[in-house]
Amino acid sequence: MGTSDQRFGKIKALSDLTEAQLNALREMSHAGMAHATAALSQLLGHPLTLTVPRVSIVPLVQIPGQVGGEEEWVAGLYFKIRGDVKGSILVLIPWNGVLSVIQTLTGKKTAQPMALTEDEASVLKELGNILTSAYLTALSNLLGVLLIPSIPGIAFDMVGAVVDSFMVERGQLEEVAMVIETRFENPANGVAGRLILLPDPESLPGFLDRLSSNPR
Amino acid sequence: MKKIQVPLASYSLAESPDVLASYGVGSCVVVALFDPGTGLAAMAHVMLPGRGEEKKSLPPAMYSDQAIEGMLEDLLRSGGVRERLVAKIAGGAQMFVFPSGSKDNSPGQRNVETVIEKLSREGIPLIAKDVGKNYGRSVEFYTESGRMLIKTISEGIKEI
Repeated sequence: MGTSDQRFGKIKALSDLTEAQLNALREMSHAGMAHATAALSQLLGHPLTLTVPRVSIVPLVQIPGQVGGEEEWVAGLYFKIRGDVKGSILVLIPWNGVLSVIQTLTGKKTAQPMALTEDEASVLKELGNILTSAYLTALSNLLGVLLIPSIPGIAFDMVGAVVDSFMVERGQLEEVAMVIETRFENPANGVAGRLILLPDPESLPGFLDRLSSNPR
Repeated sequence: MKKIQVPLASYSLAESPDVLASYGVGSCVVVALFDPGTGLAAMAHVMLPGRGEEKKSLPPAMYSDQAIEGMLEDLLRSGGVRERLVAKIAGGAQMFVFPSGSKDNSPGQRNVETVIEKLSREGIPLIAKDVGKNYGRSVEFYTESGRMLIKTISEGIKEI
């Protein structure tokens, strides 16, 4: 796609990002996930691959529908981002994926089919930490800014309730988010999760300027 | 019997025997106003406490005050009797448990408090509620009986 100017022209909102810009972000996300892959494989002692099939810009209210409807059961990890750009990250993993990830990471099935023990929740948080840190490191390098994730808040529930609480915390309804679809794949199975990135309104202009002036 | 879905930040009216439903409610609050005399009901899926800026065109139930005022106006216009109206509410959970511990005043709790205050100012008796805690709720309001059914993943089904 030609020069950086064409890839990252002047943009005012996330929804103004072009297909080419989203593809560039997907490449960057892919690079971030490569770091996460290495960290996770080391943790597991066997290979695991993370891929980013798609990056899209989606109104928050549409996310429950994309995940399978308001009552679909998910794990949600909520990180606050501090540093030069402030914002939030929500990681959503469908429940069958949660069970599969726990089994892969701990070598055991979950103790109960419908709930997680404290240890199992910690394992999931660790996975979320690795994903989010790897992703933010890649984004930091690309934009030349400092981005630090908080320790996550965690919820296991209906995706409608998880996303609505995320929106209420942020106090915004009409927000659009950058949704980074992620697949975790080990030799046995694959799991799809979503990492949802939202810069705070006061940080958004700076974030988009950085994208526009990106030298890559 | 028809099921009418009430999405986030909106409200709907229904008449007996229809059912009003909001699925996957977290920190938001569902407010049902009901006239047992006519079987007329309104239900809102409120997102934020208080009142939004009047000049901005907001979704009808984004803020609790505007949601309750809008429902009252529509109910009375459709033949509901103000003196007979009663309210039931559900939701206002704190979904995310942060390691720093729970906040005293979570957004969900603020939502609930503001709704209760507004109902009291409007003189509408709040006859039942299922609020707070840390889990999501799916809510159905049955206009035929005035009962509210609350489904959760971890806590089973409850009727108020």
